[in-house]
Amino acid sequence: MTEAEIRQMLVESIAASTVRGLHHSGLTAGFLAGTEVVPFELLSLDSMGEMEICIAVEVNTGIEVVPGELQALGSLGGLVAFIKEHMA
Amino acid sequence: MQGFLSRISVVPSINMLNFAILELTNAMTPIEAMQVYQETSRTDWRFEAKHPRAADKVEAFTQAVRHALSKIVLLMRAAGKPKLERFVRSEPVPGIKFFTDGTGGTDKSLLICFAGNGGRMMMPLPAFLQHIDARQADVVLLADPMKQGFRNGISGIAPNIIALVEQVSRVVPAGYRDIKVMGTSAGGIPALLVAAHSSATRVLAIGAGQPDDDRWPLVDGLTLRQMLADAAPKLAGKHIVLAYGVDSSPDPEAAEALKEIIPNATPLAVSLEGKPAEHSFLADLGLEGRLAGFLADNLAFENK
Repeated sequence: MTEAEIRQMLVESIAASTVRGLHHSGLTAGFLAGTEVVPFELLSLDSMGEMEICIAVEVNTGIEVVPGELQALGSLGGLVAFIKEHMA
Repeated sequence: MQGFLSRISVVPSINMLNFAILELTNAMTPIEAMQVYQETSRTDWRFEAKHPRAADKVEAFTQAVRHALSKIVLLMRAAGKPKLERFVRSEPVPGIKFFTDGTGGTDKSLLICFAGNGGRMMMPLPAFLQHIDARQADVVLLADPMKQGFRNGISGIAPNIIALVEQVSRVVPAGYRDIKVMGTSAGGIPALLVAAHSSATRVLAIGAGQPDDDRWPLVDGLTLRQMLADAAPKLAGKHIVLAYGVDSSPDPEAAEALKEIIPNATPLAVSLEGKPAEHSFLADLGLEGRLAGFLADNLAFENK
């Protein structure tokens, strides 16, 4: 999975979740292009949203990141880096 | 209960355990949830790990299951009722769930619910149903399995929102005293559209979206705004509440934008006592013991 595919997967997974902040932030295109990191504060993540993102990452990549670890990554960009690191 | 325990037993990881619990608690009744809670609360109960990756995580998974179920039961108990609501589930059409206590409909309301992308009414279904009086209402629950906010209908039932509206009007049971429609988050706008094209008398949309949301496809050449404008005359005379968490941007703006199209709709700002009222405020309202009253006020149920 390339970095672009990881970003696309995250955007599609978030669109199909209860997390609304990415759509409202207007940063989707920048995130897909790799120019925006999208801090988690902008996503207004609640516990359900954290679970949904972690589930999507594991289903689509096989990589396990759990809700308790997600916030420490700081941003969607941080999550992309985490996935890339663990796929290597 | 065995279905729940069997389903969770095969998961390999905490994320897949959460996934299974979310799915299962999007369909369970209050009685089913309490049965599973009581079983898994027994001191000798342990998660039965059938997946090799979970073999060394039995204790963690045991605690995770108990934690998830205890949160649901806490919210159920916040309804303040001495007994569990005796809803029984059926699925008359795949994808449309129906909950009733089995008593007749002529003195009852039918509550048609459109879930948000989480497949739930902003909380696990047993907790939501425990806040509905099964003697006063049967419940129909629609969720979009594609998690697209019904923008493309429901796969296998209807290909777009207008077809879904027509399909819902056809399949909902008849003979009720009245019909009420409720939608949360991505289910808010579908609730308004179904109410317009049915004999529903009341609508409660919570955290509904923007009428100019560009993710909505054209249906029969109409934008979402045009569909809502077409629906507006049919909603005149109906009781419509557009509730939103007062701290949830951009929900207040969305409610005002919807009111411009549907003049008889009433935006309702909801605050919480102990924390900001975000988009998904409904469960927190329940934990404050205010959900039953909120539903009674806005859907005209008796709060017994």
